[in-house]
Amino acid sequence: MNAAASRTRATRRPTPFKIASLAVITVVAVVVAYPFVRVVWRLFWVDGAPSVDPVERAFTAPGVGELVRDSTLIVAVAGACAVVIGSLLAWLNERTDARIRGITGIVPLLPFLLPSIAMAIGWTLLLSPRAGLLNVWLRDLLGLAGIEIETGPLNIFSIHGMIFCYFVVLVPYVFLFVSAGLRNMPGDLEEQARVAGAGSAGTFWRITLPGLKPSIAAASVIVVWFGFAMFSIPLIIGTPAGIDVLTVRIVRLINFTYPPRTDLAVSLSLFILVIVGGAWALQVRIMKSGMFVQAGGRGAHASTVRLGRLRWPARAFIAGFLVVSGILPVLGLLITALNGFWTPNIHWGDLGFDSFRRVWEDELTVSAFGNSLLLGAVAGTGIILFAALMAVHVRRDGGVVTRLLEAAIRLPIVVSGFIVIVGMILAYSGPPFELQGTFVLFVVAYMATSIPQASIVSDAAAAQVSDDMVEAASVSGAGDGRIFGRVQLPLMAPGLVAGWTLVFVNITGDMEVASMLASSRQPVVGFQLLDTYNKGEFADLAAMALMLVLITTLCVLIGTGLGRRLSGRSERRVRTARNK
Amino acid sequence: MTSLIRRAAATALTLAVTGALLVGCGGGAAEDAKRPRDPDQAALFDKAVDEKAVYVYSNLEEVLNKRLSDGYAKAIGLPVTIEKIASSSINTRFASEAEARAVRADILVSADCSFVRAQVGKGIVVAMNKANVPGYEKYPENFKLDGGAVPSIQTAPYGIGYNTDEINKAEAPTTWDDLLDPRWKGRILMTSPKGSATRVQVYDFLLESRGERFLRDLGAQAARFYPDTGQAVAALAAGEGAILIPTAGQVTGAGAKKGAPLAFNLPEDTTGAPLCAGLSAQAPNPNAARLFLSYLLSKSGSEAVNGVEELYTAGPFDQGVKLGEKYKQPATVTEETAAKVGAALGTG
Amino acid sequence: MSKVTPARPSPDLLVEIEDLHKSFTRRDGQTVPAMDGVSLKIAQGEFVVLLGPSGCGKTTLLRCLAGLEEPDGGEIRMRGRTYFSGRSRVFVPPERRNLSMVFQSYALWPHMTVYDNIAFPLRHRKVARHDIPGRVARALERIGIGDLRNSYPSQISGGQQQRVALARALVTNDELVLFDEPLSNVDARVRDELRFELLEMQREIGFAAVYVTHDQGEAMAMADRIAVLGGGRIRQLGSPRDVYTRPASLEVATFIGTANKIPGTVLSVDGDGQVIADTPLGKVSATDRDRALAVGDELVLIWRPESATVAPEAPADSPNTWLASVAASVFVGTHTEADLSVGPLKQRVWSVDRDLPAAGSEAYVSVPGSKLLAFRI
Repeated sequence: MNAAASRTRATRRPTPFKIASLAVITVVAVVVAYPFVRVVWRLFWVDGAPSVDPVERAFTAPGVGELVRDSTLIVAVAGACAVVIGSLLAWLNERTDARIRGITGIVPLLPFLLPSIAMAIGWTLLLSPRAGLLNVWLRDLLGLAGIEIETGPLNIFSIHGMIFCYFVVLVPYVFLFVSAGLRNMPGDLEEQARVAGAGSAGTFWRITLPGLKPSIAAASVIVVWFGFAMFSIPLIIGTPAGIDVLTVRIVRLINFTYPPRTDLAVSLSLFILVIVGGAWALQVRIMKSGMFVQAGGRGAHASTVRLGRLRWPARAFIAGFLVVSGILPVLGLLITALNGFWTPNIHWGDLGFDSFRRVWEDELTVSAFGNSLLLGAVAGTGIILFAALMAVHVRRDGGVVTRLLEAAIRLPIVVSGFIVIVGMILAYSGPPFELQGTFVLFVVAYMATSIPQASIVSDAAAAQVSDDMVEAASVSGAGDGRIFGRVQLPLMAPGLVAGWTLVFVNITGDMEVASMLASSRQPVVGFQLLDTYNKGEFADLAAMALMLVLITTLCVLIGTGLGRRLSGRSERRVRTARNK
Repeated sequence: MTSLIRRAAATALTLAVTGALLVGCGGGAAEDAKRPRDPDQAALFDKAVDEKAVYVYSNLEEVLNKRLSDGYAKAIGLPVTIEKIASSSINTRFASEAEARAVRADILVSADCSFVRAQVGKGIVVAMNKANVPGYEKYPENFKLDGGAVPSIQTAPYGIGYNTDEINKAEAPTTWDDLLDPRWKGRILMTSPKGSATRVQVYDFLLESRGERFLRDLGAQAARFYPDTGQAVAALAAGEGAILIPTAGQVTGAGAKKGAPLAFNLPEDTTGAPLCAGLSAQAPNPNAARLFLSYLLSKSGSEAVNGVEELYTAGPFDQGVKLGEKYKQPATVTEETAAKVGAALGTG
Repeated sequence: MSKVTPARPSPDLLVEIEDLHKSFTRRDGQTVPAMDGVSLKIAQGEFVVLLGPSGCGKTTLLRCLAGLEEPDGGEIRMRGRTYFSGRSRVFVPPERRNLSMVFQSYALWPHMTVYDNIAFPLRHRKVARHDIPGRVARALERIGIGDLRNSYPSQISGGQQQRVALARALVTNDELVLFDEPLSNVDARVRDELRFELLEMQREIGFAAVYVTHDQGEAMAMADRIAVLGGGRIRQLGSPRDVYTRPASLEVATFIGTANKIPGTVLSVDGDGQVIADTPLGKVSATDRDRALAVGDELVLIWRPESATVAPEAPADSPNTWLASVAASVFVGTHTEADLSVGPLKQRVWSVDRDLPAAGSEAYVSVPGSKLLAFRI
C-alpha cells in the first residue's frame, strides 16, 4: 500500500461512497463480533474488574499440555508438508512443461469439493485396520507374496493417519496461494538466472523460492489457521486414535457438558488465538521487509522450464497426488454407496444405486439440498461482494478504525466457530431481532464463518488492481462509488469469482453452522449428512456427499467459466494499459 | 459488468427476503379439533384453542415424531409442530434460547435426561409433577425420575451388539461378564464415554455393579473407542470388530434390516437410555402444551412412541421390549462420574 | 560526440541462424507468425541491431537465440555447436548456451545485493571460488559502480540498476551478449551516456552483441549492421548508412528515418536507372536503383528531409523544384524543421545551415533526382 498516497488522501473530505462503505463495514463487524464479544466478555470481566481467570483456567485445564502439544504437532507437521508439496505442485503447474492444460491446475484443488466429514469417512472406509477396503486389498496383495497379516498394514486411526488427512486437506490452499504468487512474479528474473547459467534446480532454489516468500508466508498463515480450525477429521479419525485436539475439546465442553463449560472452552481457544495470531504477525513482518517484487512486474510471461527426463516422473507425481487426495476417498465412498453399506465383502454383482435413490427420494434431503444451494448462492454472492468492498476500503484507508473493524470481523472465527454460533443464538434468537427459526440467522452465521476466507481472496484481488487504474479514473472525473463499480470490481472479477466458488462450496457443504442451527424444519445438507453419520448409514452418507460434490462441481465449473470470460476482458484491459 | 452485479445483488436480496418470509410463516391450519371428554383436558382445550400450535423440540426418530403428531391429530386434533434437532445441539439450543428469552419450544423431548433434570433444577423446565398435566398421577412410577419431576417416555435398554459373520449365535456373549473372555481381546469396538451422558451412564452402571477393576479390564479389551455410535456400528457391520458395546437394539436392528450382519443380545442386568420430556417454564402456548403432554404421557401417546418393534424400546405402559427385573435406571451423570469412568476405561 | 573506436575487423563467424520459424496461437484461435523464415549470420565482435515496430518478431528472435523460447523450425548454431535444430530435434537449454542477456526490466534479483547479483553467473558457470571476488570487483570498476556493491536493487536509481545489469552481463566474458531494449526505461540524458559507454565497452572487450530496439535513432548510432524486421521476416540487413540511404523497400524506407512521400506513375525509363514520373507536383525525375520499373507502373517516391534545398527564389536549372508554402517552422536545437504544403502534398524539410523561411511565407524546394528513391507499389 502506498503510504504517501494514503497520507494525502486522509486530508481530503470523505466522499459519500466512503462513508457508506464504512457504515456497511461497521454494521457487519458489529453483527459478527457482538455475539462473540458478549460470550467472551463475561469471562474476562468479572464483578466489574478485568480478570485473568480465563488465562489461568487455560493453563490448568486437565490434560491441557497434551492437548496443545498434539494439536500443534499435527498442524505443524501436516502444514509443513502441505507447504512443500503444495508449492511444488504450483511450480510444476505454472513454470514447467509438466503442465497439462486444464488438469494439473485443477487436480490439487479437488479436496476442496469434498465436505470434510465425507473426506474423513472416506478415509475411514479405506484405511480402518481390519475392514478398510484399501487394507483388505493390500492384504490380498501381500498374501500373493506369501505374507499373511490380520490387520493393517495401514491404520488411519493413528497420529500418522491424522497428519495425512490434515495434509491432504491443506495442500489446496497452499497450491492456490503459491500459484497466484507465481503468476504475479515477473518471469524475467528466472529467465535471467537461466541465461546466467543456473539450471532449473538452481533457478528454483535461488530465485523462484525467495521471490515467493510472501506467497508462501501467506499460505503458511492459512495453513495454520485452517489446520487449527479442523473439526470433522480430528473427531472422526482422532478420537478412535485416542488423540484429542483443541477444537474437539472445545465443542465437547459446550455441547456435551452441563452446565456447558463455555468458560473453559473460551480459555482453551485462547491457545488457538495466540498461535494463529503469531503466524499472522510473522507474515506481516515478512511483508514489511519488502525484499521482494510487487505484483505486476514489467517482464514478459515466464518461459517454461523444460524438465526433460523428469517430465513424466513429475506428471506421475501430480497424478499420484490426485489419486491419493481425491480419487481414493471418492472411490471408497462410491463403492460403499453402490454396495449399500460398508463392508469389505463387496458383492460386485449386486452393486446398485439404491443408496442414491434413497437419498434423492427423501423429501427432507431434497429440501436440504435446495436450501443449501440457495444459501450458498445468495449468501456467497453477498459475502464476496462485501469482502470486495472491504478490501478496497482497507486499501484506500488503512487507518486504525478500519483495521479494528477488520480485526473484529476476522477474529471471532479464528478463535472458535462454535462459540461464535452459540453467541449468535444467544444474541439474535430473541427480542428485538427474533431471528430464531429463520434462514436469516443462517446467513448471519455464514457471514461470520465465511467472510474471513472471502477476505483473503478479495484482498489479493484488490492488490492486483494497480493504483494508476484508480488514479486515472479519478482524474477522469469518476467518484469513489463509480470507480468501485466500474473499475475496481471488474478488474477484481476473476479473483472474486474464485472467492465466490470457495465460499459457495464451503456453505453448501458446511457442517458447523448446520449442526447448531439446522433442524427438520430448516434442513441443510450438513444436517442431513450429520443425521446419516449419527445413524451409521455410511452408504447414504456417501451417496449424499457424492451428489453434493457433483452438484457443487457443476456450479464451480459454471462459476469458473464465467470467471474466465470476465478475466479475458480485464486482462485485455490491463494489456492495453501496459502497452502505452 | 456493473449492471450484472447490480442485478445479481438485487436477485439475491429478493431471494433472501422471500426465503426468510417463507420460513417464518408456516404453522398448521386447525383441523377438526375434538374437544376431549375429560373435564381437566377439556378445560385446557378451551384455552388452547386460542393459542398457537404446540412447538416441540425432539430428537426422536422422524418416524416416531410422525406417529406422535398423527396420533395427536386423531386424538385431539389441535395443531402441533414437532421439530427434530440434532442431538449434538438440542441442549445448547434449548438453553441458549431460554437464556435469550427467545423460547420457541413449549416442550422438549430429549435423550439427555440429565440435561432435562438439570433444567428443572434451574427453573427453566417445569417439574412435571407440579405442572398440572391431567393424568400424570397415573403415570407408572418406574418411568418417573427425580420423584416425578421428569418423566421418561421411552427407554432403550443397552446391550451387546455383534457381527454375525464374525461370531455365530452360540458363541456370542450374552452377559457383560462374557466380554472379559480373552478371545475377545482387541475385537470389541466401544463408544467413548466422552461426549455422551448416556454412554457414561452405561459404563457407570458397570462400574457400580462390578467394580473399577472390571471396567479397567473391559477397557483393555477394546480395539478402539469411537466418538459416535453411528461410526461404531458401521465399523461393526463392516467387520472392523466382532462386538460393539454399549449399543441399543435399535441401532443394530436398523442395520440388520438393511442386510447388515448385525445382531443384538440384551443382558438381564443392564441400564438404558431413557428419553425424557420437559415443559418449558416460558412456554409460549402453556395450555396447548399441557394438553399435548397429557396425550404424550398417556397410553396412546406411549403407543405412538414405543409401538415400532424394531426400534427396540420399552414404554411406560408395557409397550415394546420387556425390561427384566434386573434393569436399573441410570444414575445422574456428574463431572466426577465422567472422570472416574474415563480413568477406568483409559479414555481420559 | 567524440569518435568511437572503429570496429576491429573480425571475419570469424560466431552465430548462424537459419530459416527460423515460430508462430503463436492467439486466444481466439488465430495463428500469428512471429518469425517466418529468418536467417542471419553474426560475426565475432559484431554489433547487430534488430530493429522493427512492435510485433515484428525481434524479441522472439532474441529469446530464441537465448533459449528462452523454442522455434518451430530452423537451426541455430554458435561456434559450430548446434543450439537448436528443428530437423534433428536438438534444443540446448539457456543455462548451457554460454551467452549473457540484459533484460528490458534489468531483472535484478531484489533479495540479493549488487555484489551477489553480479557474482551469480560466475557461481553457476563453475568459475573457481577464489576467482569470483576479483572478477566481480573488476566488473564493478569497469562499469563505475564500485561503491554500490553492498546495496540492494531497491536502494539504487534506475540508471545505476541498468549498469548493474550490464556489469552482470559482462562479468562472464561471453562472446555473445543479448540486449532486449535495455535503454527504453532510462531517461534521455542517461540513455545517451549509457549508449556511448556500451559501445566503447563492446569495442574494447570485443563481444558480439545482438541488440533489440524499436528506436531507429538508437539503432543507427550503435549498429555495425541493422536487421530491419517486419511481419516475421528480415526486410533488410545492412549497415546503418545502407539502410538509411538505400532502403530495400518502401516499408523499410518509411520505418527508418522520416520519409517524404510523393505518389505517381512512371512516364519514362532510361537505361541508367533514371525515371520520369508523373506526380501531383508535376514531372519529377527520380532514381530507380534496382531498374525494376516499367512505363505505366504506379510508384511512390521517397526523399529525406535533409536532402532538399530551400530558397526564397527558384534556383536556376533545377529539376524537381516546387513552390511550397511554409505551414510551420520549428527550431529544435540541432536543426530547423519546416512543414511545407507542396501542391496537394505535405512535406517536411530539415535544414542545418540555413534559416528556413518563416511560417506563412512561400519558398522553393528542390530535391536532387539522386535523392529521390522510387518504389513500385
